[in-house]
Amino acid sequence: MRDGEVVFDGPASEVTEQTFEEIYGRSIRDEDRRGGEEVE
Amino acid sequence: MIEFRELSLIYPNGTEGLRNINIKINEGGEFVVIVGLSGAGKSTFIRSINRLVTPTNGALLVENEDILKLKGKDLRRLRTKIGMIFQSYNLVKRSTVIKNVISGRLGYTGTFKSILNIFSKEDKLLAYENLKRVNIEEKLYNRADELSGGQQQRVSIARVLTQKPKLILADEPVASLDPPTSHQVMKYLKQINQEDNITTIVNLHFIDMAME
Repeated sequence: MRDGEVVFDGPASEVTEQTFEEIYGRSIRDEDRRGGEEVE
Repeated sequence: MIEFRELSLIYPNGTEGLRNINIKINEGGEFVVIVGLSGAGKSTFIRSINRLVTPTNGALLVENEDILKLKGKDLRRLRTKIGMIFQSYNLVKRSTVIKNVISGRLGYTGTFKSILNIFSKEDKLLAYENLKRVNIEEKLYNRADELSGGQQQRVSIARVLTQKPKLILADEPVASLDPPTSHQVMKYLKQINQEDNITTIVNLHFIDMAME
């Protein structure tokens, strides 16, 4: 979503970094990723 | 089926929360992630579905019923079917873990029994079983505020399960957690979605977690 509108509606398999850039309206930054792995 | 039909929401201060949303979400086990920056409308979107906010235009159909028309008892009935997980867990911090979890049954419990905290043996057992599902049953009698953030979020997942919802909404459920704990909480949400076939809608702003 961006500015109250649905920008992309589809399966995760169709999502690329470009899709996220369209959603975010800018380039992807490190802070946009959580990173890390699950610890049991 | 959840269907947004030309749905818009303008807050009383004039801020546009949603603009002409048209979207369908199938019930019966779909796992949907809503991605967007802060202020993109994700929370407004998700909170429209259980009417924590009320859209100002359009229609929002849940099981073929326009929920924007619901009031009073009918609105409470809708909310009983929809579980919600919050970023800040929304537990009663001074209460024990088990009391928090069993509060998921409040929508099914009469007013008198609710006030007196009287729950059936079945409800207590259900609450305990759901704590086991998120591996936190050993904290049964701890106060909620004695738990870490990740543990509190697992308790809130157990509470939602105890509600026996048809739909789970999770509004930024990992935003307050560290990376390993975030992955763990998402793993539980996905596991429950697959095992129980409960449609789950999750707001996230981390792209790697959304892709998982």
